[in-house]
Amino acid sequence: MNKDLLEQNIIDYLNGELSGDITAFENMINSDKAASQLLEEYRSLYHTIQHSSDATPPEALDQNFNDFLQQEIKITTDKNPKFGINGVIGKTTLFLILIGIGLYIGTQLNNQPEALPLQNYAYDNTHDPGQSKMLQLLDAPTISNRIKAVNMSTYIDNAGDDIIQALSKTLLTDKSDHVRLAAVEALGNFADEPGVRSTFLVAIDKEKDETVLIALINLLTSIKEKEAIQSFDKIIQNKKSLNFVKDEAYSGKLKLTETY
Amino acid sequence: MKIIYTVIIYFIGLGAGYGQQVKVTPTSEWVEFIGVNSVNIKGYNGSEIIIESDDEEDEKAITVGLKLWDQDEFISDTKAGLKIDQKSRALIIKQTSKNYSCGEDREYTIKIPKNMNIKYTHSSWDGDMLYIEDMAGSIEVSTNYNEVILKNVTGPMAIKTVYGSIDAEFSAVSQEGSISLYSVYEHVNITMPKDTKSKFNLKTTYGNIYSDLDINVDKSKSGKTGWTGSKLVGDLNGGGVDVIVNATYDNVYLRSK
Repeated sequence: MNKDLLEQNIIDYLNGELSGDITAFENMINSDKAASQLLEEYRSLYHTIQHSSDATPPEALDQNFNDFLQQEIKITTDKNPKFGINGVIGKTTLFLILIGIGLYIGTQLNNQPEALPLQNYAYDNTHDPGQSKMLQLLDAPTISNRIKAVNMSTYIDNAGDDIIQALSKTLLTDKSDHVRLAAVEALGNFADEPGVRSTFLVAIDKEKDETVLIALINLLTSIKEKEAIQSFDKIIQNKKSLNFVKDEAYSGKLKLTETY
Repeated sequence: MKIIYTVIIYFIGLGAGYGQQVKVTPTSEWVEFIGVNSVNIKGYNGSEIIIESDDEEDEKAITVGLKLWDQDEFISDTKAGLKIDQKSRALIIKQTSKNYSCGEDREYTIKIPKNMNIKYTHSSWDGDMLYIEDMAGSIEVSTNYNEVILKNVTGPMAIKTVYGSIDAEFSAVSQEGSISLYSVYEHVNITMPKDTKSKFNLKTTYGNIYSDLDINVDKSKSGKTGWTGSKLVGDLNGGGVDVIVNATYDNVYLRSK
């Protein structure tokens, strides 16, 4: 039997895992002086292992090993400086992803509606014909027809976003103060719709006509829009504001401040 | 290129009394009054605009050869205090000088072709009365202090005033466009034939609405608004021209003729 096979059989024998005829193996060992000596050496080794305490490396060896390990780690990461989670691109990508998530969450949480966009509305003749006629008439050249168009919103049941947007656009951009005044009253019927209150706040800051301003002040007060207080303050503090407009703004401010 | 010329009107005294008259032939459909404190406008079947003033002669002699300073320019005006410009869009009539005598400003009586359109604007505290009669064209009024009286008019019209009341008596009501009457602090009083076809949108925030017309009220859109407001939406004789009325702090009166 060669030595490697003998050592393997001795190990199996000492672990209790030797297959085959164990008696024959023991007779063979006892008849062979070299095999017997080898068996005793392995038996002594097993005894030593089982009865020795946990080995701890010397401190110097431990430090050398740790230094070696850190060097290996450094070499590994330096080989690929840009990629991976610790690399520049990896960090940048992660940063952008986090920013994107944050923006998405922010837009979802932001419930402050902006003033309705002044987009062009399409004349859709398949819609309620009353609505289509109103939208067309808002571009009429005469003031009386544009006022008529604004007033048509009173008679439209379930007015859609296009109607509200059209009224908002009229309030903010029509060149006639008569038409803008009518738009204030008409849009007041939709004060609870998204964006309408913001439209009123934009309108009051840009309006110049005294009658329209008073209508806006009264409307914002009646719908209890506390955001209007700062607009009222601007009117009060503006030296160019006429006194009766200032009085209305001051009265509106008192109502919003004291009651609500 | 527009040719704009300024007609400077010299009122020529007739003896020592009142009564100065000027005639202008308009070239546009609109006549626009700017800052004319007290004016009676009457429609008639002619083609000229005839302006009469009740100013006195005394001032005339002392102002001969002098120009009037009108806020931002000198103009050659010696009496009645009107500057008249014929522009492509409208005949512009603007009051320049004032003549307060015993607290009263001069009054103007102006005859206008009845189918012409009128635009009147006045913003200062000295706005007095605006009286318009026998007109069948469009009327646009934007004033802060004027009392507005309309008689035998048809519309369409858009009238708004802050401190002035609006009293409108219609002979017949045009079905064109709309009729919009808005007063912030005073009443709006309308008289119209009971057979008028119209749709009403009446509103007041702190006043009341009165009427003797047989209005078919849309109760779903009418009633109380806010704490003190009142709103009435309805039609007369099956509906017709839009009549939109708002008297914020006072009453709305709608009566039959």
